[in-house]
Amino acid sequence: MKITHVAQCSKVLDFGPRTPWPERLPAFGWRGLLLTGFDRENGHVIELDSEELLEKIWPDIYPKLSLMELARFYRCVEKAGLALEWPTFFFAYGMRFSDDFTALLQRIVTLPADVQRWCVQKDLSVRDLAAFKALADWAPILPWWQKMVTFEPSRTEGVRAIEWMVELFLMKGDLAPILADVTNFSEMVKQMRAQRFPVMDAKDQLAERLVKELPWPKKLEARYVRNGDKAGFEVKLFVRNTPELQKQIEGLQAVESELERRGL
Amino acid sequence: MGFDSVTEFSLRDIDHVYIDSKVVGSSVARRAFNLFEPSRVSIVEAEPFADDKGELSALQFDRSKKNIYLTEFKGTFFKRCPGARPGLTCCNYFVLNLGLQCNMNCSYCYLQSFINTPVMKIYTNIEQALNELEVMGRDLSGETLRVGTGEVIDSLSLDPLSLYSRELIRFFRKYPKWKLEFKTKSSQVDQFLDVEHAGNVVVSFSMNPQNVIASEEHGTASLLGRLEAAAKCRDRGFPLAFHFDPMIWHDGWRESYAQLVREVTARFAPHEVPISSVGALRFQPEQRHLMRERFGLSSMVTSAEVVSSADGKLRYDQSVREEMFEFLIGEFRKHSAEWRIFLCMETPETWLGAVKAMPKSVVGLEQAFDGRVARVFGARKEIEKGI
Repeated sequence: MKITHVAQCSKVLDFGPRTPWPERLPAFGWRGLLLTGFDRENGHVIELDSEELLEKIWPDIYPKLSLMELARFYRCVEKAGLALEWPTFFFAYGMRFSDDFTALLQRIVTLPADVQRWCVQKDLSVRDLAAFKALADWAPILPWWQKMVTFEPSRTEGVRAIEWMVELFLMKGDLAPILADVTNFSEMVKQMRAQRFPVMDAKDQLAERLVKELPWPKKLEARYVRNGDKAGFEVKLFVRNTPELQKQIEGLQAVESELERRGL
Repeated sequence: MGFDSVTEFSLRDIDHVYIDSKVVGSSVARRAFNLFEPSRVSIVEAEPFADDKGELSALQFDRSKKNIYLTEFKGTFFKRCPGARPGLTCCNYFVLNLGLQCNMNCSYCYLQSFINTPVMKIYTNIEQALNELEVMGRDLSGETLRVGTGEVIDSLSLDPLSLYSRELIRFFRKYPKWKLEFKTKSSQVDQFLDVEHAGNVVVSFSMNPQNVIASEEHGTASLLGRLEAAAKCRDRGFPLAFHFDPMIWHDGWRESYAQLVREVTARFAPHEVPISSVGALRFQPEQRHLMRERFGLSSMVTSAEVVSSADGKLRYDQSVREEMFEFLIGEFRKHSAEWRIFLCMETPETWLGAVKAMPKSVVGLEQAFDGRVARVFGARKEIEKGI
């Protein structure tokens, strides 16, 4: 085993890992390239066998990396002019190396830093970004994606929102009228849903108003609920005995009459 | 609404035919040599594009529709209908896949959710499929078998190459209690019309208004083409089935579907179409990305307001589906109460909403799939005999 010094190693493979290399662990190097501990200015480096393939070494050192980190590593390797057997490399991370995948890697490393940070934090996968395959140019989406990450949505919420952004852009061409004035994530989602699902949204709003207008018996809670493709009134009642139940049922007849009167 | 000119894909649109060297002597391979010029046919030792493993890209998927690979199927041909699953109410039949992938290009096609073979396949060992059928027939000797061939490949669009329809019709003539269903969006029927049949081969056409066909069912036959093909089948005594599926919501959908009903009822009487079903747009959520990439967002399908349903597929709101089904069924009933339209791949709730009954209690459903076909054919035979 050969020991060198950080100062003797190139940091060309610094891919901006999410977490710094643990201080207690030594830095590793390979053929004069630093593989870990990119934030270090000093210290020893264990130089790994130069005959070993980087595509084999790397997954041993970093068994779990996010898609964004892998994309940044891919860019570093390309810049360094190294030739890796990429299908083997990405197979180790459960990913299939293809033309589409390469294009995705090249695209996501150019994303703004805050968006990249969010992608790493939420560990976004290839599938999470699949909506972008339909776009030749991601630029029109980026300002709104950047705005979205300031609201710190969860991965599921964020992925759904960017898919709607892509769809609305493809449908309407400009997202500014929809998203320019939103000030929080729920408002953003509400605006996009109203544009992406206008018929369903209008129907839901109507039903939400209706449920408030109906003459529900006292002590009975009713609300409009949508579960996927099904929507309706959810009615909650609390009774202690048969007469109370009877009273509630009688009260519900007024609701039935009102619905009939409205032709519903 | 007129019949816009729509180009139906045909064998001319196939880029290349690859023939597995093990099957060069098969009847399909021999026909391929005759039908395609030599530059478009190759004999190969291994499956073409075999390096394209896993999920296909949009380009690979498009390419797979233009290249045919003739090979043997190594497995069991018979599968249960995908509708026979918990949570779905379906009609229960067997599926015979004599190929994989479709040369037509519907925006909603469910093959986009699972096909990962980079080339369209036609299996050359139909004899094995027929043998399996005979064995099944021995096991289920007292029962009526229903077999459909259009699950993962259109039953007829490539039939001018395979001519499997002819073999199947002849085979089913030996088993008059069994039923065979060809399911198609093509107009390719001429190749089997002369084959004598036992009245147990249902030629089933997927129907949509012409504006929906033009917008979403690329490379399929026009509505007029399908109706004319259906009429030819009827005139040769084949029972028909019409599947108004998937109904696709769009601005003006009522007028489009009313027009479709007018076109159908102007040409066919209810007794000539013993089986009709209706279903609405649905697809697996994972295929939406490929659909968006391949068809953009100007399509009625990719821009549809669909949300997750109980079985995980994306569907229109249940009330929208009920409204569409009720409307279509109502339009048929305006012409004649004899039209029986059933719901396919739908939940019990939607049956209740649209038909006001559960499938098992719908009078005529059982007969529609068994008895009505036989009865209609029997009546026709009697008419032909001058009774």
